[in-house]
Formats: sequence, C-alpha cells, structure tokens
Amino acid sequence: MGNLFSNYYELASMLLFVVGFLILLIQRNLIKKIIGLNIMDTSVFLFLAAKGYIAGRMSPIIRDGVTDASRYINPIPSGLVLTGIVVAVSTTAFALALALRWYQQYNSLEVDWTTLKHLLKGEK
Amino acid sequence: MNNIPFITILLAMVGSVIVLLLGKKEKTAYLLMQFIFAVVAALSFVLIPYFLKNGGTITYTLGHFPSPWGNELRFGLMESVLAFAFSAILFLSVAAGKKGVLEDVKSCKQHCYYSLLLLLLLSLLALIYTNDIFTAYVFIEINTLASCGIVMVKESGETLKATIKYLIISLMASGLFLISIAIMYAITGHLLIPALSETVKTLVSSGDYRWPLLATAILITVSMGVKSAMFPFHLWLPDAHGTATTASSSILSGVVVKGYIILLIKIYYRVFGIEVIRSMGILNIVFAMGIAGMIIGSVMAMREKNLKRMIAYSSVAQIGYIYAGIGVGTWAALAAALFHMVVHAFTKPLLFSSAGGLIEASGHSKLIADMKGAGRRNKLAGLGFLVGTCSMIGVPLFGGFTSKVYLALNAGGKMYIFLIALAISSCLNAMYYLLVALRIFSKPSPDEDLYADEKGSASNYAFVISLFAAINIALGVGGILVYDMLIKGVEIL
Repeated sequence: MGNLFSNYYELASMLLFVVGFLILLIQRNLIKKIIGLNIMDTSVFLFLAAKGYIAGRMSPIIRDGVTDASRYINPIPSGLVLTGIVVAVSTTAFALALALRWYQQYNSLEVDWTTLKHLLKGEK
Repeated sequence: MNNIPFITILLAMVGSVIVLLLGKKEKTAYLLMQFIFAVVAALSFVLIPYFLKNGGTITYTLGHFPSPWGNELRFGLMESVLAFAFSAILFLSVAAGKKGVLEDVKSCKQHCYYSLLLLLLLSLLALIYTNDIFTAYVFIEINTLASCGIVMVKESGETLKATIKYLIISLMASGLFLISIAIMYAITGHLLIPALSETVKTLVSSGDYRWPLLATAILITVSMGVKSAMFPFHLWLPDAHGTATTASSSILSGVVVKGYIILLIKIYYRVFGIEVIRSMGILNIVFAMGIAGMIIGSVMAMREKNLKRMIAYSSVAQIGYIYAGIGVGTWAALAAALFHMVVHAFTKPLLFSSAGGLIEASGHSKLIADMKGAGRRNKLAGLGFLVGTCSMIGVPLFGGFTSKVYLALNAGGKMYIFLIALAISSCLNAMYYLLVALRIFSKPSPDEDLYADEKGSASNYAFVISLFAAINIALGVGGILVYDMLIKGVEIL
C-alpha cells in the first residue's frame, strides 16, 4: 500500500484514465463522450510527464551553455506527450465533426446504441 | 533494397497530399492513386525474390541514429509478402468497387476518398514495417481515422451511425494501447523493439515488475483485439463493414483488420517472446476466443438477412480462425494463421465486390430475399460469389481449403478442439453461403422477374473479379509456395 501513496502521480493518472474510459463507454451524449476521450488521453500525458521528470533538474533546453546531461530531465517523454497531443487533437476534431453531423441529422446529441448496456445486449 | 519500404511509405504519404490538392479532377486523382498502389505493389514484390535468395532481415535506420535512440524499419520475407498482398488488394478492390464509389460518393468529395485510401495504405505499410511501438501507435491512429473516413464517405444515416460506433470503440482501444506503451516505457525505458525485448527478457528472468508486464500484455491484446474484431469485441464490425460502399467494405474486411493482427504478432514474438506470453496464459485465452469467434461468428452470419452484413459476420468467423492459429503458439501454426490471413484478404474483397454486383442486379436491395436470380442477371458477380463461397467453406482446390488444412495440421496439442470447431464452423459456413448461392442462381418465376438483365458490366470489373477468382484458385493449388515463404519469414521474426 505504501507504494500507492508515494507514487501518487501514477495513481492519479490511472484513476483519471479509468474515469475517462468509463465516460467514453457509458455516457449517451456525444459531447460528453468526447470529453471523456480527452480526459483519458490527458491522463496518459500526466503519466508520461511524471515519468520524465527528475526532481531538481531543468527542462531539456540548453541554458547558459550547460551541455551536461545530468542537469536536465529526460526529454523523450515530453516528445511523446507532444506527439500524443497532436494525435488527440486530430481525433477530437474528427469526433466533433461527426457529432456535428449527427446533430444536424437528428437534432440531438444522444446516442443510445454505443453505451455499455447495448454493447452487452448486442443490439443491431 | 534497403530503401524500398521507406520509399513506398513516403510515396503513399506524398501521394495522399497531391491527390487531395487535385481537387475537382477526380479522374486524374483516381489514376494517380491506382498508379501509386501499383508502384507500391511492384516495389514490394521486388523484395520477395531478394529475401528468398539471401534470407535474413534488413534494419533500416531513419536518420542513421543507432539502435536504442533512433527510429527503425525492419523487414524480411514475411513483411514483403504481406506488403505486396495488401497493396495489390487495395488496387484491385478499388478497381472493382469504382462504380459503387462513383454512385455513393459525391463527386466533389471523391478526391478526398482517394486521399484517405492512400493514407490507409501508408499506415498499413508503416504498421507492417515499423520497429518502434510509439510509431506504431501514431500509425494506428492514422489508420483508425482513415478507416472511419472511408465508412463515412457514403454520408447516409446508417453509415453515420456505423462510423460513430466504430470511432468510439476504436478510440477506446487506442487509449488502452497508449497507456500500455506508456507503462512499458516506464518500466523498460525503451520504445524500440530490439532494446525493449532485451529489457523485457532481463525483467522476466529477474521477476521484477511481473504485474505491470502482465497488465501491458493483456491491455495490448485487448486493444488490438478490439481493433481487429476478435470475438467478444466484434460488435462494431458488421455495422461498419456492412453499410460502407463496396470498395470500402472490401478494404476494411480484407486488409485493415489484418494490420492490427500483424502488429499484435510482432509484439507477442518480438517484444515479449512467445514463451512469456504462453506462461502468462494469454495464448490460451486468444485460442479460446478464436474458437468461440469461429462458431459464434458463423451463427450470427446465418441469422443475418442482409447480404453485406452476412459477409461481414463471416469475417468475424475468419478472424477467429486466424486468432486460433496464433493461439497455438508455434512457428508452423503462426505461418498457417498468416497464410489464412492472406487467403482471407484475397477472398473477402471478391465476396464483397461480387455482392456489390448482385445488389445492383437486384434493384439495389441488400436483402438476401430479394436476390432471387441475381446471379443469372449478372453472371460474373454470381460466379465470383460462387468462387468466394467455395473458398470460405473450404472446398478443395480453393484457397480456403488449403489454409484450413494447414491450420488444422499445425494445431499441435490443441488439434482435437480445433478440428471439432473447424468442422462445426465449416458446416455453418456451408449452410449460409450455399443458401445464398442457390438463391442467386435459381430461376425467378415470371411474376417475380422484376429486373432487366445486366447489360454487360464494366470491363475493369470483369477483369478484377476474374483476377480475384484466379488468385483464389492459385492459392488453393499452389498454396504450399506461399506457406513456405511465410514459414521462412516468421522463423526470423
């Protein structure tokens, strides 16, 4: 149990991930689903950023001519987060465009056939 | 030789942008896209004799950064065979479904459709060749968006519904994949597959991080299972594959789901090592899901009244075969699963393209009940459907028979379960496919004969259908050649 509290960044990001995932699965409203998607992606970014940070070091941009790697944090997770953000933005844009189209067609944002209940029932 | 995979990826990427810029010139866009598909197929084909002669694999470093830092492509015989098959199938499926595309897609948006298809090829090639799991994640997302796009392009109410369902379920799977590579990076410190597998080996032998490793293996299996419609996660597939325009259905069923299976195989064999996966018990679960998919997919297909949805459900069953083959966990069974993948990749587009022709010959009704005599009105589509049917059921001399024989022979200790499931599934396949085949060739009574004869279909449609049928029979007769190539390819995985 001790580990759970000392690694609270990881704990928080996993909790957020589950929250986002469940919103994406359970909510009927398309906009809420998209918000859930973003919570889910952001939790992964939190996880990666927490993994890349080393206490007491600087962000990996050469400052005052110091090139010693031990003064800077690990840059790769930051790079992964940036890539992840780009991917999340484009999927969100696509999902929003579909939600808009759905609203134009049916004048509602509710979709009741992508929720957990219907997936379990296997409706058509 | 070293540069060919990168050139093909780059060609598809540049092509997709140029096609998008072509705007109103749909014909030029179409020709350019087909030209790029053909060039990619030809270039991939060049690699096959090279690897047959020299064996081994080539690792191509992007930007010449050495192993633990740079980004790499890695390819051998298996990758070249698959890349060739996939690009050829894209070429043929679009040629066969062109008429449907012209009808279903608004003419101002056709160039966007062609651009999406090129993006799809790009992401598939990257998934086949890449040696880095984060790159794989990025291309999975490109693949997801492009495949949702090619479903949506028909712009009817039912495709909108199917696309939203497909997108939401795919995005959940992508999220699972992303978190699992984040955990993987946190416990190993690597993203490149060779470095990753070294670290995983030492972690497994020291027993550290057992639960995180198990969790990542499960999460990756689930996420790839969702995207490739492994049995309990197949619910999005019939909607997406059954409602899209014919060319999209062929491509989605034939090629797109396979890209994810290949990535999963790579992660099993090259990141974790198959023995680790076996000792985690995941292989048995994959096998059980495959068997369940084989039977339940067929039962669902039997209950379906809509022809395209029936063929889509049959894909669930065929993907069950592939997963059952992977679940056995030997080189020979893996090669058999890959061979089944290639056979299915050539058969499903044939079935969808023929179904497109049959639907057109029955006054655009997708219901099987309305198909009476459609095979007489459009003889070519009828014959194509018959060949596809024979292959899916597993009639000797057709591709499906050969691949099922290899799968059964290599099932090892699980052979009895596999044979029973194979027998049940093949009987069910025969029941629903033959019923349709009988219906489309039966003579309609005069008062039922509502539709005029098809007045000679387009020549490229005829050419593609006969080519698909010929490839099916060739795979059935000369399947041993392809199987040998694949077995040589997987042994150096």
